[in-house]
This record gives sequence, structure tokens and C-alpha cells, in this order.
Amino acid sequence: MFHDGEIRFKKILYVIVTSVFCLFYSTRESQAIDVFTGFSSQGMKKRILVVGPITPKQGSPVVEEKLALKMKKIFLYDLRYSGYFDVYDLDDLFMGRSAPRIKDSPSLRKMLPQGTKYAVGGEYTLDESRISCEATLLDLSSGENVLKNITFRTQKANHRYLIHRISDEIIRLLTGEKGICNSKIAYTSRVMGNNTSFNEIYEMDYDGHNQRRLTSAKTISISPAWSPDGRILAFTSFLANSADLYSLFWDGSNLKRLTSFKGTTSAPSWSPDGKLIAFASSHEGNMEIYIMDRYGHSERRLTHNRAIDTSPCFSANGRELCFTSDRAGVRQIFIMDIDGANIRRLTYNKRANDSPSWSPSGEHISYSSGNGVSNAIYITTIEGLRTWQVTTRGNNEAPCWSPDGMHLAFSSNSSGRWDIYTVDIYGGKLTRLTRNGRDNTSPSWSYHDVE
Amino acid sequence: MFDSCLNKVRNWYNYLTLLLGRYGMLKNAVTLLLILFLSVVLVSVGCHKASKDSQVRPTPTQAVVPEYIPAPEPPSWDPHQPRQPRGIDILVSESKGILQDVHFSYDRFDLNSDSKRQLVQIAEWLTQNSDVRITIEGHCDERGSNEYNLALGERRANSCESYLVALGIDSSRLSGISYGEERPIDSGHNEFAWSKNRRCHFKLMLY
Repeated sequence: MFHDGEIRFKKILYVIVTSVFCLFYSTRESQAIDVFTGFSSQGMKKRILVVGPITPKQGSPVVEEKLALKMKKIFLYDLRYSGYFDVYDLDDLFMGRSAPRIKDSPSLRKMLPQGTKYAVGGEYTLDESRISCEATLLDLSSGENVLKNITFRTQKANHRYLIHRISDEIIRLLTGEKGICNSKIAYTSRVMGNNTSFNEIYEMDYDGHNQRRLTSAKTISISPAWSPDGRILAFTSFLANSADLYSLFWDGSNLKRLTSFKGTTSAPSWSPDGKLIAFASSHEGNMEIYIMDRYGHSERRLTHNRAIDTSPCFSANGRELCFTSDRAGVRQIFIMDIDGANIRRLTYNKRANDSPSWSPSGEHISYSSGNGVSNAIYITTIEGLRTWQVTTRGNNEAPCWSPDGMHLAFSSNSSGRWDIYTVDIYGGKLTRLTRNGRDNTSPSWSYHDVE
Repeated sequence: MFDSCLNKVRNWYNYLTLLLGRYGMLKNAVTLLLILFLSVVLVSVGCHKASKDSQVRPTPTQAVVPEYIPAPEPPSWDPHQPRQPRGIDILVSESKGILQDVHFSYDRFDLNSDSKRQLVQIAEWLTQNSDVRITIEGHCDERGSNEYNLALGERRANSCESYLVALGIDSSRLSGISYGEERPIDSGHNEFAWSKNRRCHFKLMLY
């Protein structure tokens, strides 16, 4: 062989071999999955805050140490959970010695961690039935009280709400963002009866407190969905011996039936402007996705496929929907326009992918995926290029974003029972919200701007 | 060792180009043809693999075409005589034996041969008691979302209903409903419990 011929031949061989590899691997699933440690690798700089003791204001008729301690704990939880701050407890820093009041700022600054920017404190006035709190947010560099002597007042029983309001105000002043300290999570709880079980809809504060039952129909009531303003809850119920959509006011009153179709109707999802509800119904012979107005009228069919199409979720801008379909074999997540056009597939793996939830930022979709025995929660970017696995233990389903997009709620049976958990998107920290001896699933999370 | 393979391939390639060169084809054209041929082969292999991987699910209409089943036994009463109505208690106690649950595989709604046999038995009993109406409840195990399981339970109920209709039972006597994963009969979190929950349950509709 001539030397030229040899080189030429080797070149051609390499071309063939490379194209072989490329074609072979392009027909397989080649989606890399990152393990989730939060998105904070972008380095979200957290401001350092210290929370001081809540003390009784001079002249307060009643002084309650325990209540004051509780209120401080709520501040600590709210500000830490928000994800914007590194929060220290002043009492911890003073280790048993009595911490000075926040107002006495000069002596404080020497004792605080390097770089502490702000100090939070408050003075409460308490009588038998009402409590008020004059909160302080001290800017340690200027000595100025950023909260400018705002006082919040409420019934004594609502002291949690009081502190949540102040925390939201602090978050707003320091970050410009709307806080979720006063948001609510609705969920389904299964109650075991004698020979049967039934599901009721519950709601709770975003930190798991004040769990309250909203339905009392002693039947199957599932898949709650808050309207974006938190005033109305839509849900599926077997009240009339078939699965249909109903709605309730946030306080549990004013039950209304939204649909009366044949077959099974379920999976309500509100549009971001609160005017439309997407849902799944089999009243035309197969489970398809529909859209209707918030009163239950003018329904329009969006999918026309013999597969099961269900679990719709509006996009953040209200122009698209993501949903679950088994039209490609095993369940996958799809996206379509709000008129049903332009259907495209988001997930390409061999697992069953279900319950998609679109983030408020519009950039991510979270879903549950697995073989059924150990489903995990995943987050993917909208084009499907990057994917993170969020949970690693147990069976995890029904993800739902917090209204500010900084947290994700979901149900998990990793403790042995089904309970609601949240994960913080920027740090990856898990928080368990329910521990009531029942199976709790299907969270729906919304602002609660009703009081 | 690699070199000897390389040599073999190279010799084969040279032989091919010589051969086709006789028919006036350029060396470049040969190479191009070779790459094209390999691509077609690999893509078709890849496509075949991909289509094998995705589960072929029976469409709803496919799932319920029954095999040939011999006609049920002729009724044991004389159709020309007015039939004595059977007491409710007798019906209820008989139904307990006849209306047994029919089971399904994970994520499937097609009937296996056991299920078909049970449904044939149910159809016979329904034919003998033409006043009786039943509800067919579709259920699922806890895996999968509640919404998907409502749909799957409905598919299971429809499978049973279509089969009974194909066996001659009037559809007005059958009423289907899905409870998804919401009414398990075994609340365990293991395959033993799950296999019991993947069922269609039949209930007598008493007036």
C-alpha cells in the first residue's frame, strides 16, 4: 500500500466509526441528571440577621414569657425559611446571659457575628384578648429602625399571624420581594373509618401550624387547588357519588358544585389570572383535558387523543399548560398551548412521569417520576435540557411550587406514612410539615391575601 | 492484533473499491455509499430498539374483544311460564359467591384469562336474573398520581363492562365508576397489598 493511501484509509475509517457512535447513542436516552443540592451554586449572597428577644412594652397589662419566646421562634423560622438570610438567635449568642434589647444598639454590635447587617426585635402589649407588637428592624450600620414604628395588632389567638405579617414586611423592605410567611397550603388527608376510609380537604399555615379541616362530606375529596389569590379552593369530590369538581371559600363556606359531567372529572388547575380552570374529564368517553371559566361554564376540549391525558397545570404566564399523557407508551410530561395546539413532549425517559407543576418564574417544571415503588421529585428546565433529582428516599409525589418559587412542596412516604414536605430550591433543605397520624398528600400552595 | 484487523478491513475496502471501480464508480462515491449504507442500518436498528422499549398499550377499543366463548347454558326455567321473582336475600347471598373481584396487572387494564372466566360466570348469573343491575367499580394500587389512577380505574371498569356487554348483558344494567387509589382494601405498602387493590369490584344495585 502507498503511504498516502494508508492515511486516507484511516481517515475514512475514523469518520465511519464516529458516525456509528453518534447514531447509536442518539437513539438512546442521553439525559444527564444532576443530584439536587439546591440552585445556590450561583452563589445567592445571604444577608446576616440577628433576632433578639421579644420583650413586653412598658405598661403592658399582661406579661407572658412563653408567648414572647414563641413569637421569637416564629420570627426565626420565618426569616430562615425565606431563604434570603442567615439568621442568628441573639439569646444563643449570649448563651444564657440575658441578651440586651435590640434597641440598645452600641453594646450589641461588638457581640455579633462579623458582617451582621440587621437586628430584629419587638415589644409586645398584651391584654386578655388582644396582642399588639411594635417591631424593630435595626440597620446596624446606620442605627436606624427600618420598620419605622409600625405596630401590628390582632386577637391573642392569632399571634402567629401577627409575627408572619411582620416577617413578610421585613422581607419586603430588605429584598423587595413578597414574602410567603402568611401563605397557606391545602392538602388531602385520608381518615381511616371502620370498614372504609374517606378523604377530606385540609389547610394549614405554610409552616405546618393551624391545620384545619375544610370539608366534612365523609366521602372522597381530593386534589385541592387554590385560586391564585387564595380566596377559593377548587377540588374533586364524590359528594354526588361520582367524581366532579367543587369549590369552597377559603374559610370552608359556600360550597358550590362546578361540574356535573358523566364519568370522572378531576385535577383542577387555575390560570394565573384566576379566570379559568383547566381539568381532566372522561365525559366524552376518554380522559381528556378541558378548560372552563371559574364558575364551571363554557368548557372547551383541548386534547383529542385516545391516551389518558390528565393532571394539567397552567404556565406562569397563562399561555401554556403542561400535563401528563401516556400517548407515547408509559406516562410522560407534555406541554401545549392554551388552545390545545403545539403539543410537545418534555420528558424522554423510561420511567412513569406524572403530576407536573410549572414554577412561578416560568423557567422550571417539577414532576414525579419513577417505577411506582420509589418515585422521586424532579425539576427540569422548560426545554428539558437540565434535570435535577430532588428526593432520594421513599415514594414522592404531587410536587407544587410555593407562590414565590423559592420552595417546592410534595407528599412523601419516606417516614412510613404519607406526609407533606417542602424543599428549599436554593439550599436543598427538607422540612416536614405534617405529623398528624393520617396520610397527607397533594399539597396546593398559595398566597392568602384575604384578611 | 488491532493492526491485523485493520489490515483485513483495509484489504476488504480496497477490494470493494477495485470491484466497483470496474463499474466506473469513483473511490469517493464508494466511501459515501458505504457511510450511507451503515447509517441506514444503524438508524433502523436504533429505531427498532426504541420502538421495542416503549410499551405498546392496547387502545381502549382493542382491549375488550372477547375470544370465542360458548353461549351460556339455556335458562333453567320455562320461558313460557311467568317467572317467580326471587327474594332479595337469595340474590344477595348468591351474589357474594358470584360477584368476586377481578384483578389486573400493574398499570394495565386488559383482562387476563382468569378475569374473563369470572366475567363469564357473572354474565351467566346476570342472564339468569334479568332484573339485577350491578355497579362495576374500578380500583388501583397507591402507586401513581391520584388523577392518573382515577383514569386507570375507569379503564378497568370499562374493560369489564365491555366484556359483559359482548357476552350479551344489556349495558343499561351495568354502571361503571372509578375510585382510583382512594378505596384500597389493603392499606399495606407492598406488592401483596397492591395486587389486591388492583381490581374491579362488583356491587349489586338494590332498589
